[in-house]
Amino acid sequence: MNALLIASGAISILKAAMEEINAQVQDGKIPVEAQQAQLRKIDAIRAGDFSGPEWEVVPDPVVLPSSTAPDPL
Amino acid sequence: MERPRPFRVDSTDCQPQSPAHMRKLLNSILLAAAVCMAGCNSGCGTLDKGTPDKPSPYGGVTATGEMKTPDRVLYDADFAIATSYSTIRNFVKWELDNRAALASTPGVKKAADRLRAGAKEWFKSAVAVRDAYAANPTAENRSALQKALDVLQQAVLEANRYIVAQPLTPENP
Repeated sequence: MNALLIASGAISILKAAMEEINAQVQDGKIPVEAQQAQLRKIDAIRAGDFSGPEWEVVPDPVVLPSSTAPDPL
Repeated sequence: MERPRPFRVDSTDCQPQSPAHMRKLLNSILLAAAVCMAGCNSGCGTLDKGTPDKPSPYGGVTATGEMKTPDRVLYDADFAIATSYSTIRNFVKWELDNRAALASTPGVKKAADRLRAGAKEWFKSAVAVRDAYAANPTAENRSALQKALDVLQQAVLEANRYIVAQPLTPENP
């Protein structure tokens, strides 16, 4: 079940990308407004918004083998 | 154990269904995404030239007032960069939001951390060569742009590979 939920997350990621494609095309043409919107996205990426918590690399906790783990007492 | 919550599950076709259905859906979506990342997004429509008072930002107006044909290569590059950014950002955010539930599949966090570590530089580089191509659309700059886009494409494919591998393994039919 977890696997299916994980997969649904993957689908959502890809679906969002596909929606971007569909949203831009109207009657076989990509209007100027959509082109301008795309440029604004590039400007935002150029500004470099990588500061959110989702971009933070958190080191994995070190797990000691049970035989060498300190006695909690 | 906490179960991972899919983000943006706002449509019935995003609800978990049978493994066979999921497999078909994933395959078709992945194929479409791969095609689009390869540059087909452009094949899905032509760029409107606009009007003299509101020209295409990818075209513009000549000195004599004629509408220029918009630069499809630049538009496609921007599309690939923007789509890659949103896909990778959505992936790392999804991994963060579901980290506890994904603890049993450490490959997902490892992939997300690799993307986190490299994304800023990859996008910075892609935008830089994009700007170079926009200013001077030579074959050399176009080639450099394609190489930068290839890096982003690999990053997107890595995210997809790890996240999709889980339900397709024989142990998780």
